[in-house]
Amino acid sequence: GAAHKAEMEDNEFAEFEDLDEDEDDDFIAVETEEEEDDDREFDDVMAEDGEDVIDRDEFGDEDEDMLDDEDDFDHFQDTEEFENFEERPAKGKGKEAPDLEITKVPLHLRNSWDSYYLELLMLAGVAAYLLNYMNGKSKNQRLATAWLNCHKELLEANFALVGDDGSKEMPTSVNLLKQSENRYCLWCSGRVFCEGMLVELKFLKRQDLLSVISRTMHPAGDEIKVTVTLDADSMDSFVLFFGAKKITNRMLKDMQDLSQYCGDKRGGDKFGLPASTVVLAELGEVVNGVLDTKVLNCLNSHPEMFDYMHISDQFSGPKPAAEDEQPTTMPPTEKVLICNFKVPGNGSKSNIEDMLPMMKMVIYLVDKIKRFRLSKEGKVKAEKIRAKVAESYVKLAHAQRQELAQQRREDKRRVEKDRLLNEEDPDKARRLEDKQYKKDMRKRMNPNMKQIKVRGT
Amino acid sequence: MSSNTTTTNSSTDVKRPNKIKKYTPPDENSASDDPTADYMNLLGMVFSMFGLMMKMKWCAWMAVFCSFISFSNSRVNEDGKQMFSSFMLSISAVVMSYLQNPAPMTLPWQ
Repeated sequence: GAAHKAEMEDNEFAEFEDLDEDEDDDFIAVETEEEEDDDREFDDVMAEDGEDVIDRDEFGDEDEDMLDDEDDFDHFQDTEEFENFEERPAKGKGKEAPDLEITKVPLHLRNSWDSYYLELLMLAGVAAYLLNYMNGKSKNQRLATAWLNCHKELLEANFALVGDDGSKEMPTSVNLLKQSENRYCLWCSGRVFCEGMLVELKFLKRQDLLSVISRTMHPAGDEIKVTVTLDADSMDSFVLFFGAKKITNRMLKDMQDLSQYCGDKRGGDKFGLPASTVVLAELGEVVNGVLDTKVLNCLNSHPEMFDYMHISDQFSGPKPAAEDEQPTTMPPTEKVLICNFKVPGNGSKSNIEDMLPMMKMVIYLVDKIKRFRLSKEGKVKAEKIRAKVAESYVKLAHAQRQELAQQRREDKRRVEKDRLLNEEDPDKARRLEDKQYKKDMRKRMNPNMKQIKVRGT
Repeated sequence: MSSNTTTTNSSTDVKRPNKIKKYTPPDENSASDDPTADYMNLLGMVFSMFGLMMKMKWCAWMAVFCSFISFSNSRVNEDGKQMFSSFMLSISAVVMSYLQNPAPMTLPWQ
């Protein structure tokens, strides 16, 4: 009987052990590492229960109901019986396998090259760029040679030297100076009334794919800029500018001589120019004098070719940038005739060859300007304006000099005061103070009295 | 506007061989009128730095494009060393970023 009772107690404790084991399982189950050995303990415990059960059968019926409780109890732990029983992982039959996350094997060029589609795109972009570069470069080259062949004969008839690249010896053949893939220039010199003429061919950047794309948004055209530097004596003193409205406003803001000499804007149609042009002129008489019927015919017959024309005897380039200080001396000026033409069409050979009449007009203008003389009062008015401008420079210089002198005087006084302040012995300080006081008094008494040093004869 | 070339009679010959003035290339306006080449060069340098440091492949590819653009806009008299260095830098950026991890490139917004 006693042994039997002890046995039973063991059993109860066994249950408790179960419980403890279970709690331990829960507890341990939380840590991932000991999961396996936890299973093993659990299996041993299960095995022991099994033997207990068999022993009890041998002891006879009264243990039966004990066993039933056991079974009932196990019955609750049976996973198949209840669906959502697995929440308590420790109780589940087999734990679900830890989810294996597949380590990402990096794609490699050899075995999965089709996933490199972006790289293929980039290489295609580079190839397209190179193709466009070759094509654009040769197109610009062809345009430049077409312009040269067409204009060479006229230029050689008017200039002793055509196509100089600044090197010492005279050029043997006429060729353009290539500044960049889309910029060529030609220098001609050796003609009466003018020092020289620089023709700049400003083509579109056909060789650069980026600008080709950006031009689809805002189209632009090729340009030819002719700059003739006139002799000192071959031009009367006047400033004249005319062109399309937009470019005129921009130039009025940028150019030094325009802002100084040309005050008012006048409509171009009054002078027979195409309607959209605006004229900036120092004197009214100049416009009619220079733009005679021949020039007007040429301009009106090719209005789309013309951009602007700037004739000035005080030309000194664009205004200095606002931030650096204004120059106090008059900038060097030269007499200049600048014409800017636009090549119509999409830049085919024929388009550029049609520009010949424009070049003839420029050369004709050089002679015309030489022949043109201002009327007497026009001349007086022009000289007055130039004198005013020169004077403004002198005034500016004077103001700056005065400012500098003021600065120096102030510095000197400050130094004087500092010396006074940090003077140690009192009596020297007092003497300095008296001297300063007397000086100020004298100055205040008769401010306009100058101290003149008279040297002993 | 008939072509009234005046070469025929010598009295009104306009050519003055003795008055020839040699061409003096204006050096300052060459820099100011077309700054794209310099900007693109600078941009290319920045992109290749980013491509190398931050291992962003699309930056390296942008650097290659930038150096191509600055090459096509460069002036003829510009020395080729700058071009050469910008090309070398951008191409090395691309190669290095692929050597480090050969995974295909991702777009900046992916």
